[in-house]
Amino acid sequence: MSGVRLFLMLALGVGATAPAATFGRAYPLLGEFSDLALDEPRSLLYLSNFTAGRIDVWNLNSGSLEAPIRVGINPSSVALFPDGKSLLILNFTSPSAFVVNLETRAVQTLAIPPVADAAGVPVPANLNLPRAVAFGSDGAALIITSHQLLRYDPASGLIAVLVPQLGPLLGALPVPQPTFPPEILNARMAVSEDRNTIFVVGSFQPTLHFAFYYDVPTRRLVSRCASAVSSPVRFASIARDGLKFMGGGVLFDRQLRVLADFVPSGQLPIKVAPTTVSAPPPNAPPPRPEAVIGGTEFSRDGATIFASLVDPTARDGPPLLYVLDSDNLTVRERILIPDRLFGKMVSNAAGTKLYALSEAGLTVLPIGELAVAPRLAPGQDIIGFRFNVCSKLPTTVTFEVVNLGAGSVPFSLSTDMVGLRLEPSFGTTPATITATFDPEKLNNVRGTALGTIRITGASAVNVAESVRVVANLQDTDQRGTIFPQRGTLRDVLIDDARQRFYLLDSERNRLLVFDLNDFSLRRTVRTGYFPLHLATTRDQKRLLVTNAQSETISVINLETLEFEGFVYCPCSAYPRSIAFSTNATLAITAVDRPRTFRTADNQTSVQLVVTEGRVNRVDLARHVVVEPAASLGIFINDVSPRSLLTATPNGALILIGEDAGLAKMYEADSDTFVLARAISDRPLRGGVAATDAGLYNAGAVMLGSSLIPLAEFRDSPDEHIGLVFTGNQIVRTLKPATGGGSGLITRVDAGTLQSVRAVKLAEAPLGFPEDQPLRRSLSGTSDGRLFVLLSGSGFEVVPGSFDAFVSPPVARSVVNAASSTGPVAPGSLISIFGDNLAPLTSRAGAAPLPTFLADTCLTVNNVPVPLLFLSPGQINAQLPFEVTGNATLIIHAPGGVSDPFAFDTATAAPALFQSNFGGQASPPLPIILRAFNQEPVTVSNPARRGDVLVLFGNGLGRVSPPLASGAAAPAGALFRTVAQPAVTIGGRPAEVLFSGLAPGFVGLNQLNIVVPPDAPLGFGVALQISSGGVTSETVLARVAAELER
Amino acid sequence: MKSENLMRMRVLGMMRVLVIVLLGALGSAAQAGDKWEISGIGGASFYPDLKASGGNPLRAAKFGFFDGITAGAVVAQTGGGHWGGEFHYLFQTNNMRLRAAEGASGSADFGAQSHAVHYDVLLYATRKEARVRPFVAAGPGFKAYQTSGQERAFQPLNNIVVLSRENDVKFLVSAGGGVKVRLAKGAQVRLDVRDYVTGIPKNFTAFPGVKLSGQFHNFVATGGIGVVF
Repeated sequence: MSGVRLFLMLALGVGATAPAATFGRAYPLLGEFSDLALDEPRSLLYLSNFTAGRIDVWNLNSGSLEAPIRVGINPSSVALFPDGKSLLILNFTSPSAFVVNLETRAVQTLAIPPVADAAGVPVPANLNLPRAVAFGSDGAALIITSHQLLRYDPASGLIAVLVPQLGPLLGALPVPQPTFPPEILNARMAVSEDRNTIFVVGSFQPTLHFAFYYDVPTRRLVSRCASAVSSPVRFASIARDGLKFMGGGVLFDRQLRVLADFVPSGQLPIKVAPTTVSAPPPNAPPPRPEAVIGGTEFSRDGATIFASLVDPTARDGPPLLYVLDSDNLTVRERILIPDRLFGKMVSNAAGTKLYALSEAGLTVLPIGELAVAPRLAPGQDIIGFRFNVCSKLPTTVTFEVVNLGAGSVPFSLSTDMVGLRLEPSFGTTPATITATFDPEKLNNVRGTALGTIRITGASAVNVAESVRVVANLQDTDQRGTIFPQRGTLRDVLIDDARQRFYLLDSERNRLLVFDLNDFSLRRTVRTGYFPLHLATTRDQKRLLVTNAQSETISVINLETLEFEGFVYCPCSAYPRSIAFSTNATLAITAVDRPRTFRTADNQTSVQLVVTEGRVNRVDLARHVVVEPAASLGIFINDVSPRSLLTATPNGALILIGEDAGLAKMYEADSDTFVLARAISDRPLRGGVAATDAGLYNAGAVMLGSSLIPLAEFRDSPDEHIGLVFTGNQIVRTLKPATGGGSGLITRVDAGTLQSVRAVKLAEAPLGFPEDQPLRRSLSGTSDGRLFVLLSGSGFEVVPGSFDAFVSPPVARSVVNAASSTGPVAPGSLISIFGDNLAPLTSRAGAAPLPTFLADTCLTVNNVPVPLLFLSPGQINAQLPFEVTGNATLIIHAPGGVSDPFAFDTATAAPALFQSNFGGQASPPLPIILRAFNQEPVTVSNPARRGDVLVLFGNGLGRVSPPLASGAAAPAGALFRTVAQPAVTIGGRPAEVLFSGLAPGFVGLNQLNIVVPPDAPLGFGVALQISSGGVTSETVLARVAAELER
Repeated sequence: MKSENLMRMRVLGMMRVLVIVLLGALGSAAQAGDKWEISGIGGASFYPDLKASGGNPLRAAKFGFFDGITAGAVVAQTGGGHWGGEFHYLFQTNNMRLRAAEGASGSADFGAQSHAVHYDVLLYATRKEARVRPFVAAGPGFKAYQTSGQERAFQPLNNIVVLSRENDVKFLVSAGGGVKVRLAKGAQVRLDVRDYVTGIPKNFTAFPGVKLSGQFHNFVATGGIGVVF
């Protein structure tokens, strides 16, 4: 182990006893702790030891305990007086508090005044117990008891009642094991840096949880909802400026609107009503609270939230500290910490250390050193292998493993992908990993196999992002091109007018905007938390995205692709789906509501929280979703929270599909719901689609104009996935219900509503997660030219002609791509002319070039050919470096397999590429640049004697060191041609400075030469390249006298 | 040899000839007891465009120089009678230009300037004692054209005329006139108008098949102030 790494690990307190490194250090302390207060001037931390009945005093410098402050009570909360001279300690078990002078340790008792209930009847003193305290900027303390909100003014010693009937809060002793103090206290506070805002969270009842803040200057309580969130909130934090709050895993803005309700699992938490309810057995302990446990704290700059959030239903796994974006809680990093946090976490003034209550006692996290802490990460988060009928040899892909911190970190790799070999599988960062996949392991199962590569390191303190592995095997009878995409994709929509399409990624909270012509990513736009569904406004100027675990809908301007702001939902209503009609804009929101259920014997009632769906109207002008009406016309406003909305293209109707097998219809003209029907006895899974002509689809059910089921696709062993109406076409996708395979795309006969002409896809469409059984996974252009669907590895683009009959391909000539004549050389770019060569025009994306494009592949001497461009009449490709001598070309296209086409190759076949330089040159000019000004040689930019010229050509043959066919020449290395070409200008030999591959390009040759000093002058001086006994065609260039500069 | 060095040597050679002529004139004037004048002058410089045409199909463009400013100095020999002589130096900033004519479109420009030296023989209308002395003048000289623009790959109209980064020296003929007005003893102002005629410098390079026709007439109007001793 290097000295630097050892020093780092010691400095960070990393890995003293744990098998894997962790960030920070946990200090085991005897007792259970309810609160802490940081006293930086004294370098002390006061820890309220709830079970031992004392305040433990922790010395920040020595990292050890000093003599405790013994109070003999269960201290529920502590707060340092603003002058720093005293400590206020609340008593959990009696209506009192203690003021401890920190210099003399003298203790003064403070009695909490008695309280009366709404009827004026005094509440027993033992029921008005203090729970949490924080000091405001006015020097007074805000105290929340189990019944009241109080203001204690130390100057006068008076305690005033701010809210007499707040409670009762939950929480009484004894409690079942293991229950930690934060789960008992049911009220927590956090105060802003200027102490003008005190944020308070807690629970009154098992199902009623509050969040409000006290504005100290105005002495005003600000709250928004009767029940702020659906789950108990056990800890609170506040941004320095007081503009954002965290209550448990919920991020609030200053108006207490929920910006994000964090779900560690990444799945929408839908609380389903039980079919049967059983009463708890007699004398059974109360169930453990279902609170998210952990702790949170904002960074000094407010841009980051450090959070340890554990789903109560999934406490397994190592303790983690999430590093989150403070606007939408996108997870930036997952840091391994030594202990599970439980409750308050505070930052020092410099923002370099976090002190947190934890299971063991106290955990200290030196976040100021996080940037240099060893953290592993992959250089790319997804790698792909593509195989086809032309290419079934093992393929390699490289990726990097890096350390995001300082220095090098040892790492090891593991994978669940059968057939994937990683070399090296362990090492030290930075490292380049070669991943080799043997397609034999796919067992000829066509479609995509997915796997992951895990990166771990004994000294790394983070959970490194895994690398997703995509291995696709495609034959020419499969349609579509796959575009692997990392993330959790939730929706897809084509924007015909702007020639782009949109994808929603709920893992990274973003909208992805792709070009509809070349399928490249144009823009990434941040959304709110958990984007689920999107829709465009009727004027097509804005895109609205429902953020399913927040009270917000993102509004994105489609002209600028900028986020414009939020539409806010009512209290606790989380938007799930949205649609625009010519009248109302409707949104489905999900709300967690406490509901009472009777046991089967009808003897006992049990209260449970259930997630319910409501149909709301959206007021775009006011940027609000209005409170839901009680009814939808004559129907009760009660829909599944998993419902999906869609409007007819003309906006006259909005269709709701519900996973429970229901469908409802809103009519814009009458501005009400006119239909609600049970359409299937099976749960709906699929999308929801509608036409203007009275034909609709919900899940696998086709519906008529009155929502009467016309047909239901029963596709066993396949599963219906998506359906789209484009023009007068109906197209749908299916995937194998179990096992591997590539899925199908098929048309639906509009008359019979039967699937016709099913064709295999390149990979199977994406199935449905439990939390989203209804979603749009297929979108098409309005003219049916193209379809985009969510697929297993990302998304897939399928041409509208997927089922068209195509004649077999016929090759007629193979020529040098630069000169359009023969011969051709290994590694050079070639053009193949013929008929029915490919079903459509398509271009390869980035290098390395694919050997399968637009459902077409070709081999020369059985070697797969990297493809640049395909069209029915022409293919541009790179002749593999391996090909020599007599060659035979075979094309595999949707129409079949071509007859072998024989052609000759030469060791070199030099030619210069020509270009019209974006329309500036007519006729086209040879691509010769003057190194002096990097502009092409023309009559007004002549090559001058002594100039260095850069020539871009083709056909100079093999290179050294060898480079894989289809790969771009890396920028960091030079690949020189094996044969040295000769260049003449006006018959005079030119010095060749470099002959090789142009960096960053596939197969493109570059020659750097010097114009001879005796080169003839003139407008049409002949330039020729010779190599391997072959001389290029003559090109003419203007040569002028040398110019002194 | 590099073209700029060549041009510099040519200019120096011509300057040498002119200095010899000037010194000869000064010597003879000193013998005759003539007076001398040294003036600084400045003004404006204009060029009518010339025409280039040719090619198949026929295309044409007008080429020349933008209007510019000029500054220079005059050393004059003022005899007692009606004859005199002057040595002129002029620096001119006139960028090159190219404009479409028939069968073409677009325009181009290129940074350029020139240095002119010439000797004029003056014929005064009045004797040297007169306060106002109109005169006509003519004489030979040289003009060095220089460029400062950057070569562009896609200069508009480069299939007719290429504005080239070249330097060239051309013989010039000066013709014109003016008036000198004495302000006080030893001081005078002067107004001059000249037409400097030169051939076409190679800064304008004709595309093969295109013919550049004409000679450049450079009309210069200057005013100046000087001392007479």
